[in-house]
Amino acid sequence: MPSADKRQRQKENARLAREAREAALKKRRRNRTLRNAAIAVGVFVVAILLITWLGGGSKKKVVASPSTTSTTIAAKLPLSGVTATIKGNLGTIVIALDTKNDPKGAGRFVALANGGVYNGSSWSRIAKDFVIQGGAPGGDPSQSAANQVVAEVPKDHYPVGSVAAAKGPNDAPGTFDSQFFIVTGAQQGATLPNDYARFGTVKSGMDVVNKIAALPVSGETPTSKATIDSVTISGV
Amino acid sequence: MSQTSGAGTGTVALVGGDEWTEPCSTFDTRLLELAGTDEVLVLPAAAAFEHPDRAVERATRYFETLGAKVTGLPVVNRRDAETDANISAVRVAKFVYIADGSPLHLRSVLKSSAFYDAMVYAFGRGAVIAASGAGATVLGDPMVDPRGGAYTVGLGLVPGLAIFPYHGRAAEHLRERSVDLLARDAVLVGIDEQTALVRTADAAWEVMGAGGATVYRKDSKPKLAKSGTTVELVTAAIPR
Repeated sequence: MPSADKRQRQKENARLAREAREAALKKRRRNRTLRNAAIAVGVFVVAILLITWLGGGSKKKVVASPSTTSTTIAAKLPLSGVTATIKGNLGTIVIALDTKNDPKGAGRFVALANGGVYNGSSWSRIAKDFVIQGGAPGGDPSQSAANQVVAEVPKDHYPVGSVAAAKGPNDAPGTFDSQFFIVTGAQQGATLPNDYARFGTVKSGMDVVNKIAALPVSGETPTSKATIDSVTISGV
Repeated sequence: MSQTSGAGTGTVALVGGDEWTEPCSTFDTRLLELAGTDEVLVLPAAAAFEHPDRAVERATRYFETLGAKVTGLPVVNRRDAETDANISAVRVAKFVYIADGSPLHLRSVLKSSAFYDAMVYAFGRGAVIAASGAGATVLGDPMVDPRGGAYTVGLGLVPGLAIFPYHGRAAEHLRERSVDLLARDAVLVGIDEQTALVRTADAAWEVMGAGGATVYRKDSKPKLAKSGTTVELVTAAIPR
């Protein structure tokens, strides 16, 4: 039979061994918890980075090219109160965008403006008593923004001050690449076929429009420069 | 205004719009035969503000299906219309196709230019001059101003004849306005889309393609000429 001291030592050793096992178990549990927490934080951070990178970031510029971008923006635009401020060497023109009746056209314009496509462009066409036209990338009418869209067209023609998308004669009605025009002639605007996406109206700066329209031309090409330095969007 | 025709003039084809589409292939094939060439010079000046390069590309794709080759003339403004290389190219051309776009810009580029004189010279030597939409509008005189349907001065390759393209889908009030304002000695012809009014050297005007041509004279009822029929009109000018 073991002595009382020996039994006491055996019990003490068993207790120490149990405590050691429990401590090791606790440590493993703590490490696992920390690891899982680290993984969760990592996944969260990666997700946030991905969302920001793919377009969820509030400061990300809208790219001009994908038509889906215009569509996405069109879906998010409020039905009123969105304006575009066009600044150039002859003054400032403010456009009230018709997000209600032409959401695709307005969305396209907002996408291109936010993408900087209109910065450094110009008014490249002046058709007397009819329209001024501009907005080609770099001011070069042979250039285009990628992935043009087909937007809504009006039913009641183009009163003076209407802003609409320019298109070629063989393009489908409502086609919007990047160029746009502002109507300056009442009769001509009233008889223009309803083939052009009318996405806005001049809110202020019609005097600037008329100043541009009065520039000297060769054919319909202005012989002195009328620039579009920047287009900024408000109310979105 | 010349109202007569003579030997040695070429062929003029006035197209009512929607050019270089499949239904146009019947008359374009004929025009290539009349020109005696498989090379087409395309003048994109009217499309100067809406991607003139695309007009040339479209023409290239289309004429390839007809076995012909397109060369785009880099003429989009007045300066280009006074450039020697362009003038030389059109002077020896056998088939020139004037693209659609802005008629008033096109007129400004061509009127009294060396390029236009050279094109008329080529026409006088038997070349085919085809023109669609704005191009067709500009070749007449008087010329329908597309902005309101009133009349202005055209280039007059076809004098005494005003041309109204896109006749099939134009707004009724525009047609009516052009008819109301028509001068007594002038003739207005409305040409449908994908349709050509073709005048060959023997002075017959023939309607070809998908639609028809409607002839308006002051105080007369309009006369519709269907595809495959001929119509009596003024003739193209004789170049000197």
